[in-house]
Amino acid sequence: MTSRNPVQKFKERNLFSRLKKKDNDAFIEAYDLYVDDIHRFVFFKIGNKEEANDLTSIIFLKTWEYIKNNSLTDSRTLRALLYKVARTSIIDYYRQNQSVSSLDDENHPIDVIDDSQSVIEQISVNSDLEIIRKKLPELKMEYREVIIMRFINDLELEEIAEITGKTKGNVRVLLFRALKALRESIEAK
Amino acid sequence: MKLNKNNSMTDRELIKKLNNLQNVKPDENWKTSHREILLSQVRNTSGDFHVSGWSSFWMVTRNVFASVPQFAYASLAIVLFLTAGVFFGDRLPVGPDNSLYIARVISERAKLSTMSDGAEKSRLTVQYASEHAQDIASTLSAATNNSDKEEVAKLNDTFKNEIAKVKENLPVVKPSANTDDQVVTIADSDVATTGLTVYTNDSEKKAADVAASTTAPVVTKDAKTILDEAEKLFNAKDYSGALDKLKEADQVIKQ
Repeated sequence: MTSRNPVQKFKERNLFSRLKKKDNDAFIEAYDLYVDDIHRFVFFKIGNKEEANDLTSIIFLKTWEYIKNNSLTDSRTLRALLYKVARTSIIDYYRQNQSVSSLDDENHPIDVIDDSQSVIEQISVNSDLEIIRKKLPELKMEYREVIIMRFINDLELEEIAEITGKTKGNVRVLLFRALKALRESIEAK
Repeated sequence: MKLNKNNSMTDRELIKKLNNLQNVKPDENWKTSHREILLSQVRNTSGDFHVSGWSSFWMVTRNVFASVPQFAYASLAIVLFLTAGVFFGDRLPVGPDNSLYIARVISERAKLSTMSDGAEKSRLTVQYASEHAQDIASTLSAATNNSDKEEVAKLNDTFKNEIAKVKENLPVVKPSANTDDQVVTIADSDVATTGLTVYTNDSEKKAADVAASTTAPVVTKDAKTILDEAEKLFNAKDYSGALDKLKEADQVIKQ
């Protein structure tokens, strides 16, 4: 797992400080920095590409509205703030659409975009993706969520704890159980 | 998905596979078009943004400190401590009974090892050794009967080594000669009262300089004699007497 280096951390903190002062250019920079992560988070949670696009747009607009009207003292990092908004937006989305499609939706295949990958690597990624695509929805929602945040989007334990409102210890336990459940699910195929 | 011999996957392998899913990204066209929409909406709804130079500087500084891991601070602190120790450690007013004494000794050794001037190096060696001997005498004079005997014996040995070091370097150390600035012209009657030497012409001054240079070994010999006396007093456990003698020797060496 790759952790962010001090330069990245500094960049993110600086961006967050500028956003506290309602700097709109900083928000566009934040969009460039986090759009992939937030889109991925939404996509793996709801499993639909078009819906993920729409929800990601809503999440960024909601976040900007929040930044404009609040002093941002309740979030320690911009990432945490974005994920909090994303979580509530997804909950709203589920409430509004009771019969949502899942990751198993064959009509919405996942696009893997990485030009630097070789064909073999691409096949391997697609194969892994296929298994995750089938097995991830079988997990409990909270398991799925922590797996996406920690192992796919590389969030730190502190950030996950802040986003989910749990302690670091609870997150660690949750991650352990989630990983075990996913492994068992894959091995049982 | 790759499975091991037991047909089960380790957590590490699974995490690696999950990490690969970072390649799942939204469509570039969607990202660009959405960015444009977001930019126009954000620009329309924001007020004037202004950050002063000072507040910007403060913001950046604070974020730099918040972003650097604590071990980096710890490393920096250690480097600063060692650097300060090397440069200023020899000025630490600590005796052999203090935990910082070792820092002082290391600093002195570091300073001596960087010196190329032989005479200056000897002068400093004498100075440090003399100071160490004085510190040891001072520490032992304050020691009680309950003091650690092993520690006392160790200090005794160190004292002897330091005295030997001073004696060894004494012949190299030259007493400082009088400079022209120190020569004062005063009336004859003042000579007796002030004790200052008055030269009426250059030949007299040169003669005095020659005399001063011939007295140098005498000063060294005097210092040696005083050091011998100090050593004797130290062996007789008269630490206060030894300390006084050491101070006297120090004065003679510095003349």
